[in-house]
Amino acid sequence: MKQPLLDIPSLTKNCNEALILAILEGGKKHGYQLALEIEQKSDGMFKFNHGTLYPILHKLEKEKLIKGTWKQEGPKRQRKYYALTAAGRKYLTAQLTQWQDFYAQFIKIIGVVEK
Amino acid sequence: MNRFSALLKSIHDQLDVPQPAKSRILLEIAADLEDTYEFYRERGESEENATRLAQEKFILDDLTIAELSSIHQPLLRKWMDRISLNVQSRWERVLLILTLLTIAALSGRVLLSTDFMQNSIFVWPIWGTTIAGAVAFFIKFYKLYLVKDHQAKILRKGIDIVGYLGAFSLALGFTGYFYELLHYGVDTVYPGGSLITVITTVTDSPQRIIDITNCFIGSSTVMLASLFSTLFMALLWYILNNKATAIEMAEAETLLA
Repeated sequence: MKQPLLDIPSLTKNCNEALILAILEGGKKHGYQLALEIEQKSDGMFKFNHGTLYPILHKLEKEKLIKGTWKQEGPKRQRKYYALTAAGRKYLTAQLTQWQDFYAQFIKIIGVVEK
Repeated sequence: MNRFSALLKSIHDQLDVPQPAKSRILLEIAADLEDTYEFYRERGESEENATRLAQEKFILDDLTIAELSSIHQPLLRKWMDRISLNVQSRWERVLLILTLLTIAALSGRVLLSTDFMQNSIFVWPIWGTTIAGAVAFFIKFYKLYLVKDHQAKILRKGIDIVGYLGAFSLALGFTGYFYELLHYGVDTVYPGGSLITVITTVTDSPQRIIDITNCFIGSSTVMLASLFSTLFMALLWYILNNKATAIEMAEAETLLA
């Protein structure tokens, strides 16, 4: 299974991946729904330029962490929905652990500075 | 006409991926654009404002375009990119050079044998060109690696000469190949005949069989020598070009640091 690597240079990338995977745990979503839900759930803290979502989604799909399926909606509109795969779920769990460790270390240092 | 067609066309033009993948990306973006538009309309924005706001959310910057292109590139293209100078790791470069050197060493032993060289008069100019290429290589190699003359304006000067000599050698090979066929084939085997006659002829005359064999030995020799020479010079050109690129990249990194 692909293991997340939480280091400083790839922080934003990992953060975006974790956010997307976490939202998809709640069920199938398409790109727009994902961006909206992340924004709403974070009270506007995580705002996506929707365009930047696609490389992340397509990369996760290629790595088989999520699965995209096309659905016809109305006569003209085709929509792509994404769902978390079993590998994606495991990856998300691993991400969560790493984020917790990262956060704990971060707070430890920030806490020392505050004192 | 789709209200977002201008934006979609711009994305279409920028994406460097095969058409089926490109179409799917555009379909996906188009559907999300419509949703975003409807979201703003429901919030009471005018059609014009909603279109503008939706478009702003979907502007794909250069980095995003590059990432999308990279994800959807076919495997062959990715493999070709691995060969390109900018992305190769050191061990890949060493492996490539070692492979080419092995080919050159193995085939060079045969191609430089006296018997082989006497098969056609074209072999000599081809070897001459190869030596000229090798000399040009050593001069530039000396400047780049030993003197370390890395001035930007002359950094690549002299590198392409090696490449051009390789191309010239290939051209000599083709010329020599057809010359041998014409000279020995048309003049000796079937005087007044055509190339096709020589190539397709079937004969049981012992002398003609010998003539035809000699004719093909001559033409094949020229072509083999030419291919070897071109490969060898391509390798030399690659080494120099690789070094120049590495110097340029290091300079760019220094500037950006």
